[in-house]
Amino acid sequence: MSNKKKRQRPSSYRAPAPAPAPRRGLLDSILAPRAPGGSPMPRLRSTLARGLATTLSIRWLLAAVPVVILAAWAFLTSFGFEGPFSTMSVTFALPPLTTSADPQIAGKTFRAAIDATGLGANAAGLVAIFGLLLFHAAVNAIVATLSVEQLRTGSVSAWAIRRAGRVLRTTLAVGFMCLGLLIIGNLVSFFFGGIGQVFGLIGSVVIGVYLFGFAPTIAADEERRLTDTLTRSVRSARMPGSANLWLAIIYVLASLVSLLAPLPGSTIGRTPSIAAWAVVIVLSVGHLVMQSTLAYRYLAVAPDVPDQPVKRPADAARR
Amino acid sequence: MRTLRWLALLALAVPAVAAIPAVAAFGAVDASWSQYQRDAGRSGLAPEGTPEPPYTVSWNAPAGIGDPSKVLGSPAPILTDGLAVVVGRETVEAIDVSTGEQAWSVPRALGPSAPAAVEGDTLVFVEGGGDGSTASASSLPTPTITPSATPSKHATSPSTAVSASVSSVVGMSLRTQRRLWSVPLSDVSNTGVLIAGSNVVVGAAAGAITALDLDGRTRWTKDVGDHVLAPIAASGDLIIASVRPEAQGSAALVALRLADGSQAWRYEPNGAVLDLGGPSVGSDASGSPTVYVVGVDASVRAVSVADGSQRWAAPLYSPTTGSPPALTDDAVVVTDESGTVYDLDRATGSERWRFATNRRSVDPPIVTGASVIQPAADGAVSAISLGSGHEIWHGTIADSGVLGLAAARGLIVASVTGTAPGIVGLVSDPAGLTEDVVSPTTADPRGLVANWLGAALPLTVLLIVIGQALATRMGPVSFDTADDDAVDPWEADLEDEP
Repeated sequence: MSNKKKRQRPSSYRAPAPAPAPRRGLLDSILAPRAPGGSPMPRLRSTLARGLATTLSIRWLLAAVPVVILAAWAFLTSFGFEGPFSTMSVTFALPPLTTSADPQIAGKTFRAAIDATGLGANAAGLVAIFGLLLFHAAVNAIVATLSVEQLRTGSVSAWAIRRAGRVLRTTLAVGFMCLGLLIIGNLVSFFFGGIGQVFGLIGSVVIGVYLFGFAPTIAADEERRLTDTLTRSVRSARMPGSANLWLAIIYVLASLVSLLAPLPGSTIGRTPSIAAWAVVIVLSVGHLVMQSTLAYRYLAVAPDVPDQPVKRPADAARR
Repeated sequence: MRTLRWLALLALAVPAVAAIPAVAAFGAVDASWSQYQRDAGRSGLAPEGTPEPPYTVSWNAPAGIGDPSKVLGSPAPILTDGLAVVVGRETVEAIDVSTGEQAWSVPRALGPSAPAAVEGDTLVFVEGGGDGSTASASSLPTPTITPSATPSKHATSPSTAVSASVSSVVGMSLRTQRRLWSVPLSDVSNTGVLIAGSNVVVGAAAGAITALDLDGRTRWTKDVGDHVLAPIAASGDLIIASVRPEAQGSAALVALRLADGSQAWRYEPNGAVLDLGGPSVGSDASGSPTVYVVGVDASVRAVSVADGSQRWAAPLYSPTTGSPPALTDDAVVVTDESGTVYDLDRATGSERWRFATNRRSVDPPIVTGASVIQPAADGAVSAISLGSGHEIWHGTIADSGVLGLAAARGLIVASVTGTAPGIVGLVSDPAGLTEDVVSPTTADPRGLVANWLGAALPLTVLLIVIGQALATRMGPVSFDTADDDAVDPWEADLEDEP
């Protein structure tokens, strides 16, 4: 059909005037109940199933999970890390979950000399945290491109690795922004005590996953500038009725519980048991499923995500 | 008739002879664990004749320590004159260690439990302070040395004047359980009692350290600033206390002269260390006394008693809860909060071995002739060989925390909380089994690879198979929301037009 033909539509047709949009509250875009057909975002259950199928279809990724964890464990233990091994389950997690676990690993592994002061007291830890942040960014970039390629083409190729190089700057930026969120969360917990700890520490992790969870997928799938990628991720997350916040809350709480629970591998030691390896591998695959789920959710709604911020009716009326 | 008489005598004699070993074991308990961690230096070094593992529970005596939801402070036991004495929440109780029966119990004003100390017939303990509350900032004493005060005498029960928010030091006759004197402090006391020579020393949370004589007369009070919460140690004519800052700044170790409370030196580590924990004092190989402290920054520090200069510092893997290290002739034995026990060279701080029990530990270890005995917060006790660093025995003696140990010839006693809070007596178990467990922190590359293969191979194969099944069931993904094959009604209309 040509554009010319489109312009020949009957002139008598007048589309019915849209009903005035209901007044929106502050958190409507996040918490509004989902009306049937109200959001183009696929339902949670079906997207989780698709995420699981996508992850389990990438054989190289499944094979790489235990190899990467073994390599990371061998590297860290050679520098003095002795566990708990269960912290390795965040290797494939989304930031800021990774960012929140990194200081613990860095503090026990790359420790400054006792009584060091000034830069010397913090340099080793900071370098280690940035090193771990870079590592997690690389892992996230590769997983995102593999997921996108698998979802788009039904298979993976060396393209994903090449493309991951371009996605890395986005995952690094997300890592740094999530680090900032965690610092803010710590300040909130410091100033507001018990309830502040819940909202500050857990809330900052949830917000990080919620707002920036789509960014690696966008970077892998589309050619956009970094700032554009990040703002589009936020815009995708805030699509009304998408239940993205609930997904982030469930993911973060489940991950934190798995980190704190007395599962095999939650003790100190340099030789994890078979059960500990099994738990960490399964949890790592769980994190991959989350990333694939987010990839699928974004790709399903990508055409519907506005390129510009949506003006709220109240804003439009004012202009 | 004569035969019957002999039989009767024999019947009486058999139980008496059978009881001899028990009496020999328990009746010989002397006053060698007369205060927290045995002595004024808090060495934690058990006297000769302390039983070696494996252990068995000889008796279990209930005491008013409180269950895990109520236990407060450190109800570590002391041993004196055949009695194990423990300061509970609202009682001070003595258990006859030869029978495990309660010898006596006296009331005590509610307050944090803290170890008592005994000298001669005088048992000194702290009471009052409420249920964990601290005094207001207005009660902070001024940094002065105060002259003697006259104690109140001959009370038989907690004074009604005892405030809920401050503690008092109480002297009591061990023989008659009569209160000899009581001296109020300026704040809640958590440090327990130190007896150094003829001096009784206690610290208060708001930073005041008070020295009394054994008759309860105050010799001096010194405010060392911030908070004094950890047990105080003594070496010669000095007492050494750990001072904890309010929230920021660094902790300090302060040495005061016993004679007048004047400050001999003050040690502050570089960097911000919030707590240095309770000090232990012992002489190193050169004979010069050294203080050992375990900081919450996961470190052990050795400080010269002579001038307060740091001799060495060694890292630990995890922070500690501030319990003092145990000392042998050549080793400093410390335990971090994750339950990893370290043996460090006393002269250099170099690590000889570490053993990760993986049982959270709050209270300090004690050292017998050949073993380190470590209590744990889950009710277990572990014994680690001093020579090899291997665990040679472990057992569970309570269903919750073991809160302190004391040792004497033939017996180890432990205060425990849980569903049956009280005192447990441990003796050697000749029929028990020992073990030889290497620390999980020891590298085992072969085991690492074997375990990895054992988990990774089957799991990966399983996940791939599940993935194939899922892919077949769910089919390929399609994101084409605008279906090219669908007929657009507008287009159809237009094409129908002439």
